[in-house]
Amino acid sequence: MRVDRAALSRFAALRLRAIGAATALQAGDRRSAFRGRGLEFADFRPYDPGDDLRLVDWNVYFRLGVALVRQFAEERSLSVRICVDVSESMAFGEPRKADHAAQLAATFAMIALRHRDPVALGCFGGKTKPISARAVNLDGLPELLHLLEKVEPGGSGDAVAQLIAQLGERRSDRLVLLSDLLHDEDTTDALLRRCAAACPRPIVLHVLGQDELAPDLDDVERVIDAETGEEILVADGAAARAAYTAALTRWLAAIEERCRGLGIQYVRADVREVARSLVEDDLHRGQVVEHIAGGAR
Amino acid sequence: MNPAQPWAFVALVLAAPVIAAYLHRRRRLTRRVPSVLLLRAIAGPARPTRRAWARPRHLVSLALVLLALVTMVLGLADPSEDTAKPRDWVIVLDTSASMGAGDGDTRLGQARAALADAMTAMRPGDRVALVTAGAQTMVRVGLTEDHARVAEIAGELAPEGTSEGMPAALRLADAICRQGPGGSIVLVSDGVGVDVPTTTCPVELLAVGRPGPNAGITALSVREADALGLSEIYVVVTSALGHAAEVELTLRVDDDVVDVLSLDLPAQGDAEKLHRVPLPPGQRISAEITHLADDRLAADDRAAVARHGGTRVSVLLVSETRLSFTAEAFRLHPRVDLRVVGPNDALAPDDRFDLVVLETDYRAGPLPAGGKLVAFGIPPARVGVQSAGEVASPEILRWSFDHPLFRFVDLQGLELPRALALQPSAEQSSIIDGDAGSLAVTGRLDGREFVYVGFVPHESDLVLRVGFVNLVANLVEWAAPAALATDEGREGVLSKIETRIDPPAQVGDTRRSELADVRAPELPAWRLLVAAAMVLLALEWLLPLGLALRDRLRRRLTRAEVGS
Repeated sequence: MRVDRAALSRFAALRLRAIGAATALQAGDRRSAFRGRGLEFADFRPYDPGDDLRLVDWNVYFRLGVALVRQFAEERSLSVRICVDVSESMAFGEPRKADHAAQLAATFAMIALRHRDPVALGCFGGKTKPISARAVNLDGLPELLHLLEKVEPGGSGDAVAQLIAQLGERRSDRLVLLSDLLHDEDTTDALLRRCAAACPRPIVLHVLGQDELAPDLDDVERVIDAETGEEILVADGAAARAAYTAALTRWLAAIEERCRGLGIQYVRADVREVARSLVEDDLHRGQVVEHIAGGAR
Repeated sequence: MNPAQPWAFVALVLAAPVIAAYLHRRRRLTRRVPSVLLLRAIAGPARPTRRAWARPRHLVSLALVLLALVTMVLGLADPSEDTAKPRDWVIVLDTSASMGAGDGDTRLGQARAALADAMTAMRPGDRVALVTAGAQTMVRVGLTEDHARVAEIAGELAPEGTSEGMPAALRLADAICRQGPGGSIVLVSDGVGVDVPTTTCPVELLAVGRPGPNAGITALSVREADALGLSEIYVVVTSALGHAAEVELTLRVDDDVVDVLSLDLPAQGDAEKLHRVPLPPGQRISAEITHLADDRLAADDRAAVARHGGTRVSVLLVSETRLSFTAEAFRLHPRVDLRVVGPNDALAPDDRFDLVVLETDYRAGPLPAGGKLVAFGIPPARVGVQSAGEVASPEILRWSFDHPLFRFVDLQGLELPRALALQPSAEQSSIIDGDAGSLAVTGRLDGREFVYVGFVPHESDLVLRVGFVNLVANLVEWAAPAALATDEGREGVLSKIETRIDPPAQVGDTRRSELADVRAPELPAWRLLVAAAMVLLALEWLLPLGLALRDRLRRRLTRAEVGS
């Protein structure tokens, strides 16, 4: 897949918006549910042997005769997971949906790593086994980009199984799924449910190209599914175009409705729309990203 | 318009395979798509998968290609090439003064250029004749195939004179044109003052010139106001300037300026001026308009007339006294050769006089032949006038103010002790009427004009009035021999000139000449047709681009619809 590295620097002023408390083990600048060292006082607890005596509140001890230890809210980083669909269907479009998804994934990774949010990047749905890479800061960004550039869309593996393998058992603070969701209804539902289970409010970037939004079917009689090899005869003409548009509308509405039901943030990503426009407009408006200075971008 | 290459129309059969190609359905395609998930909505029955006839896929494209084919075939056929027989062209070139008008190049210059182009475009075998109408109406070149000669002769002409000779020129051209079949008369003119007579050959007009402001002298005459050197100059300046203007009119005798007049010209119309001025001796009176900003024609800004060249008038005065007032008045006139005789003095048989004045009856013999006769108070029967008898102290009631004899002569209150009351016959007319009847009559006697006055001037106070000198001067003018025509027109009168130079909207029964479009050979019709075919093919080539744009717009609308 192709990634425009130069375009990534434009998003330096953005960062991922946290939905809840950060859960990553890595220290960062986001509020977390962990108590420990920090600057913001959180609570007291009874002293246990082995606790750092510097944390004992001696005023309370002299006043009440009870040794209490001061606890502080720890600041952690967001754990971000990015899953990119690299199935055969992502190889279509102009530009290719896979390239567009890779650019968006790289953008998310750069935004996260710039603020020390660890990123786990994985590809699923392809003919190869699931590929993944991790990075905890900007030093690891080249590795992620290298992974994206190395992988090419193709094949039609078990998307759900591969996604489960990618996600693992751990939950993430933010999950970004980039896919065209061109699966049968059950598979799509399983994918979305798995995403919803892996993250409090996952983000699904629905990558669509011309082949889905307005396919050119003039003089086309037969179509072959690139992933399954299924062939069907299709009609053309104004009536067929209208029927296709209606079916497309229904399909998109169903996916969006399902995402809403599962608490998934659904964002449509047209390949004709540049990544910068999508990030700075749709994702910023959808509170997926925010400006580091706050307010409007 | 006959095509030069009619065989080229055979190429029209190429339209058949073109149409067939458009009617032929393209092989239906099989396309690989990301997923058939959505396309199941339009899964339908299979259409014929092999070649078959269908409706034309792109009617616009087919129409463009067919149109290109037709225009290309027409271009190959070369419809501009006329294979008819050679023709005769009789060119009538207007060389009147108005053709000298122009802003920059004159109309005659434009006409020459148009003729030169036309001669270049003539085909071998075409014959051309040249007739001019202006100062001279004449055939300059007879029918000839030497087209360059015609252009050369036309280049030597200068604008002069009027278009009065145009009808004659066109009749001349018609006579030449009738010599061969299929001839045409081409009138190259600005149309000013052009009168087109009925002709056998059709008259085509190759119009030159555009409307423009102009002012010019349209009338100039000079005459002696009295016998003392005072002259009367009458000048008319006709304006077509479109705005009022003040100009100066410089009067010259020969090359000496004698006066400068200021003249207010109207926007449209005439400005007249009657100017009395003592003129020094000279043969030529000229007038020139100066300080005129907007003027397309310079030729009419100057005018000249020949002055009376001192024509001598021989006068015989029959009087009983050699020192009469009448004799003295005649002696004052610079151009009078006076001879005074008594009533009984014999004259030589060959004596001739321009004017015979009888103050008393001539009894020595018959009156000298020729000239004009004026008789004062002699027996009226001598000149064939009936008299009603003598009346005392008659009062003059009326005289012929417009008669040349009474110019600057006032008879009002004339004291007459006596006079003869006259009864003019039907052939005679009274020129002075008194309370008792006519006192003076004019008529003809023995083939000569006479004036009979029923009283003697020196018996009245007429001789004491300045009007008497004027009367004598008028008698001299009246009796002077007829002025001879000169190169500058009749003496004292300006020859006719064209001042209104705006071309008319339509000139007689003419139609636009084919020669007006002779520049076409630079871009023949077949080239235009081929160029049109190329443009059509280019449009057809661009058609897919337009269709792609249309599809893109349609997809964008679909996306917007889906997005909403």
